[in-house]
Amino acid sequence: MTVLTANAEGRTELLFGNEAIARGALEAGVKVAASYPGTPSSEILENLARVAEDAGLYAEWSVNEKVAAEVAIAGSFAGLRSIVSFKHEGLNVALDTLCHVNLAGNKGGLVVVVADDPGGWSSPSENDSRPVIQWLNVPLLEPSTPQEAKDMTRWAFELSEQLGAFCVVRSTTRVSHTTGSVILGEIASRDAAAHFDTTKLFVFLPILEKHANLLAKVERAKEVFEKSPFNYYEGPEQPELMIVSSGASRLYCSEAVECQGLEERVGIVHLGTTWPVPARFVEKQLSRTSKVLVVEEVDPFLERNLKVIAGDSGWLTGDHVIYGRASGHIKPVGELSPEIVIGTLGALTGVKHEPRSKEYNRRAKQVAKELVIDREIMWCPGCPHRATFFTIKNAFRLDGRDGFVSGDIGCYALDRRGAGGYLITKTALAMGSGTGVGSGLGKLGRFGFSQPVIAVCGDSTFFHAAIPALINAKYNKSDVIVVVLDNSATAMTGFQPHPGVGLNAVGEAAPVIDIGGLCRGLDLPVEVMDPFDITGNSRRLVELMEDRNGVRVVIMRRPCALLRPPGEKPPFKVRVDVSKCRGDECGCGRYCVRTFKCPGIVWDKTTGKAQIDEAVCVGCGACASICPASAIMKEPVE
Amino acid sequence: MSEQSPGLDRLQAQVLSQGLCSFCGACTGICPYLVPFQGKVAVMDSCPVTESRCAQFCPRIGVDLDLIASSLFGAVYNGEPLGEVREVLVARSTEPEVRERAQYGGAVSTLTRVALESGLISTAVLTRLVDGVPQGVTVSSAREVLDCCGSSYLLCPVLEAFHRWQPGDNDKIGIVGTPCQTLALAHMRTCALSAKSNVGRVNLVIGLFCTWALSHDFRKVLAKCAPLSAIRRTDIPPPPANIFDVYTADKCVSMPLDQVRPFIPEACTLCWDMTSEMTDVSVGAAEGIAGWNAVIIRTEKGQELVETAASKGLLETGKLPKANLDHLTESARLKKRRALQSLVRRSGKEGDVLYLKLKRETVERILRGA
Repeated sequence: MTVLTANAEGRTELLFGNEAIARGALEAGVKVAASYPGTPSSEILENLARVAEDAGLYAEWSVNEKVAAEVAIAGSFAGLRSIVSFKHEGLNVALDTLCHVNLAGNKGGLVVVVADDPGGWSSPSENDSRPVIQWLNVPLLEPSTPQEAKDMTRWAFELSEQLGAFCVVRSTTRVSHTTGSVILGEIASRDAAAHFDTTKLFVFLPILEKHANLLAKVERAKEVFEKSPFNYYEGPEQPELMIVSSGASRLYCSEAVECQGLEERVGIVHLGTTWPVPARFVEKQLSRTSKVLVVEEVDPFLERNLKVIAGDSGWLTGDHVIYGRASGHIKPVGELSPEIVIGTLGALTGVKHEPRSKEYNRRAKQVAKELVIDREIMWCPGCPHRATFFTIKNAFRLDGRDGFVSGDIGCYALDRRGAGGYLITKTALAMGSGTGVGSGLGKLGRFGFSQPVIAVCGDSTFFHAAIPALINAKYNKSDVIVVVLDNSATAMTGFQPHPGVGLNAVGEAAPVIDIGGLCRGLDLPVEVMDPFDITGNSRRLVELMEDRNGVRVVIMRRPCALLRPPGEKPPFKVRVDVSKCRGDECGCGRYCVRTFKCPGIVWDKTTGKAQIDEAVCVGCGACASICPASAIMKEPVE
Repeated sequence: MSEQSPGLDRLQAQVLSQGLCSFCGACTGICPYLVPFQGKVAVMDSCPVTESRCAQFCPRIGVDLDLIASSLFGAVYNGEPLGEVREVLVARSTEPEVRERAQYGGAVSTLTRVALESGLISTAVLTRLVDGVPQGVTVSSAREVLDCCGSSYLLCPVLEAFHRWQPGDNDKIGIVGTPCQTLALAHMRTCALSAKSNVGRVNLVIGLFCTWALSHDFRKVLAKCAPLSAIRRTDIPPPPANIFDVYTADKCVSMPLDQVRPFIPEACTLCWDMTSEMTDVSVGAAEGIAGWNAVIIRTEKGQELVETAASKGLLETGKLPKANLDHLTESARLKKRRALQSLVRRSGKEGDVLYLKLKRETVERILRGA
């Protein structure tokens, strides 16, 4: 029994945001959970999967977010409470299904949790999911704290069943990855029998009727939201300035008001239900003041909706004004912080406040510099991707026709940020796009396009979205080399299993889908290479680039260096023979340190030679093959 | 670009990106940054080294012919069409195993074998065709020389093999190379970083006559004649044949020379040397005398080698008839003139012949065709 499954109503526990969401789902009696990993959402399913047996639920890592949504929808159609979770990028993938299930309706409570990443800390974008949810026209809840995350998730199931529409809980990194006190509720005891009522249809037809139904559902949701306890006002009866906020940013507002001593002048409207916006509740709050500041992550979603309500109600006249990101009073991009809100409040109220003195900041930076080693963005020691990108870079240089990588989403995308200094990835869009864009580029020969293109994708990405693109390339006779970087892991998001690794979400043995076999089934030529055979692989890739002849698949196969169990001996003891190392001399020029950039090889200023950092080196031995003087020695560890 | 810039940057800016590289291999085989590949030098990464061998050894960045000639012959460069000459002969090998494989008279192969067997050198750097691609190789026995007989006409970075050679304490090396390769080798002797190369071990340089070579892309044309791995050698018979011959073990395929000329790299049009002037001895076809080589002896060492081979009965020699010598001299003169005209055109300045450091009067004399 864990805190997630403990039936301990009223007990207070310290929960991680995503843990709280999982707890909320368990309290609601969730029976089906599906997801595709992606920061900051991954821990929701990880937590549910961990207690799946105990809680009697089915949990899976699906191959992508669309399939994950469909698996959860299936549970709902069969009458089970079901949840699907993913990051904001995943919403885009699932959208094709979600924009029809909103019309088709559902039976068991169906909750979609989307975790946004303001600032794009762990993502290729900082897209705000809320405008998409508005477009889907389904109820949207935005928790601010782990407590609200749990409570809203639990309530979302009830609301979904009440309305016959799925509900969305929108988290953000600061909610999902915050730990806070949560008062546990009762774990619902629900009948888990699944049955599909064949007298009912879950389809989007007739379209106009279904559309009208959806609009009616939203109107009902709005009525519910008008009375929701998740929406409330705190502050003076008639504030000089009223903040409207949602999600984690409302905590920044409370902190800012307190810091600046504005409790008597500034009030805060906490909006927990943000679509449909409860218009009457908002109008009532607007009547308190003439100046409103909207603080939200990321887009001016509430700001624009408030302006519509304020305009319709006649409030937005004379000196009445709404400030926010759209008005330019808060920076339009990036994650918010208490400091940003303090700055904006200072500008609007005249109460300047310096959260930290300049001297404090200076000293903090100084202390941090002493404590933290400044390091470049780079791949981990022993990472097979480094060797693969070094190889591809070499192949491009040998080929000499200005080749480039059509990139994808995964650890290997760090090439774009200079992880190895190669910067050969020139396109990167979305999961599977490397192969899709590569497929397109491979058809441009008739227009004089002669640059070699290598499309890359990871093993998990391959299953997620590269397969259709690969089939497209084959079907349309594209000339492209697809390199699958198979490190036997969904490494970047935390080593969740995928169809190629032989395990499922709950740790059971699962069938292994062989990437090479699948490609051969498409009648594609497949070559499996060890990324550490740098010289041989470069030459072979050049041959493949020369032979512009359809789709060719190369699988670079070597497990992620982080998969080695703790305590397991490294394969090699690696050392530098300083008598051979050429260092700064002609013929080397710190070649290993500058071009391979493994954190395990460092430059010894005292000797002017390369050195292995034994605390960092994982003993993969890949660097031994690149030393021009054969000074890097690798000896097998017994 | 200043001398303080990384040498590789200078090499790229002044040679590689200018189409001046003749693919001799002088800058390769010494570091991981420059790799000869399919007829070009590939730059693999940036290199921060300023005092670098690649820039120093490359003759196309700048070559002082007076300095080189002085170090080889004890006299400044004479600017004559055939360069420094002691004697010009016709010669042919008497060794059957050489004659059946070699181009023309097989003099190069026999001289190399004699040099190896006499102990003049312990190793020779030669060119061998591997699947239709010429590669520089080091050999240490007379038998191995036989695998390297015949010409390919394709660019080959022979000096990469020279750089990669790891000599023992008493090893001496000989090199057989074209004008650009032997010039680069001679130039290396004059460089500040020469001690950081094998150039001090060079004890013999045999030059080959060369009008031009062909780019790597020419392999595609060759492949239409015969499988690349089956090609033994190629040849350009003397005028007026105007053809290019491709030999396999059992047949010869000819093609018009006009099909071949588009594959002449621009770098070859800027070469002023037809007979490999900076060598001990140079060898080429004796045009008009089938089955014989023309041999230009330039140094005492070259003279001794030819005499040793002749005295052992392995090389048959004779005087090159005056008409043939005149023809050879005129061909070499014309190549010099064309090259210098091209260089002046490229530089856009009268008397500026880019990489060649020559006295102005020598430049003018060559351009006049004197």
